[in-house]
Amino acid sequence: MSDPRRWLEDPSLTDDERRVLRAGKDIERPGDVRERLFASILAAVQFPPGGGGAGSGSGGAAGAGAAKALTAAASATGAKVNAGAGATAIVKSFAAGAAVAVATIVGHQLVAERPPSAVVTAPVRSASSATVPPRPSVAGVIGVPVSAPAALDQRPLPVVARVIASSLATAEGRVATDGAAPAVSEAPLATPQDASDLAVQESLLVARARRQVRSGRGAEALVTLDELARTSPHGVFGQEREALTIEALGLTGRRTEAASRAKVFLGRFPNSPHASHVAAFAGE
Amino acid sequence: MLQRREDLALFESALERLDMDQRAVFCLFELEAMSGEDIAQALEIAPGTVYSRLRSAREAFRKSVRLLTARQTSHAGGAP
Repeated sequence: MSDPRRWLEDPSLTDDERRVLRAGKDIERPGDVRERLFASILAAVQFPPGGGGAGSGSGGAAGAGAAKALTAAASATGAKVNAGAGATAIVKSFAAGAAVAVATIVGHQLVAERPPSAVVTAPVRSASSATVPPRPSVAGVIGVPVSAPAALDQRPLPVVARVIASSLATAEGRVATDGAAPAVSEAPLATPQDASDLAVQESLLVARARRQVRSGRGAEALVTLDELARTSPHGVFGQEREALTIEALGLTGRRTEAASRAKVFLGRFPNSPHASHVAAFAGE
Repeated sequence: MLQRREDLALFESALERLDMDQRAVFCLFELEAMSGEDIAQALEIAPGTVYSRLRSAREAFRKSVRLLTARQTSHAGGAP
């Protein structure tokens, strides 16, 4: 199936429609605003209104946090980047949608709101990957979780990330970083090219880990969380990552380790929305 | 300059009237120039769904622009 022509090229467009659409199209979107635009789109479309059953509570909470952060980030960006004001409005429109979608779900304290040093960064040991010291933080990146069918776990994660990243690059008239169309590959996105790549990678890894934990695949989740700890040691989903790690440890029978980390977590984040869930693991 | 600002305001209003699914596809296709296939992958939906959402988004956007510009014109005409 081939793409329809872009609407702006469609002769059936009226002058009014063309002018209005052109105004939106011509909005200058600085890289950081575009990154948030993409993140907000993902947040908005992946959290359907009315969703949020028992299994989706964590994701919904993160979505609420992401929406909150997106709104804040959009405001901040709008204040300092005049040219990005229109784009900020678009971001906000998505952020608002995401907030509506998850309004009934408990709020989420984003790790980004705290100094990076407060983030739990203890690496996860897993059978298939050695512990690697965390890399330096990339601060200020907004990521959002993606809820998707479990079957997606079998799909190569980097593809989606690269699709988005390369589209960003192409749309900006830059040469795509890998110089080619996204290819289906199992190769991990080991070296994100920029903050956009990293944000997308973090959010997708969190989503993957969450799906693995929710479906009882603790060992797989630990591998994902290990990768997450290495690639985004100070990412915006530090709390969720640690909470998922504790759950995954519990799932794999490492109850003592889970209890120990749960106690540390509760000591550090007593008011976390994940606290009640994590507390279940603290008693061994 | 004023016209451009008004157009931008119209654009934002029209965009807000799209539902989230339509808005996402519309923005990615029309503003970000992504291909339908890339959008399908990124949003994890079928390509056919991308195109149907794009179609409905365009229709809704068109209606909104028509309504909003008519409203704008009537306000401008009613001004002293």
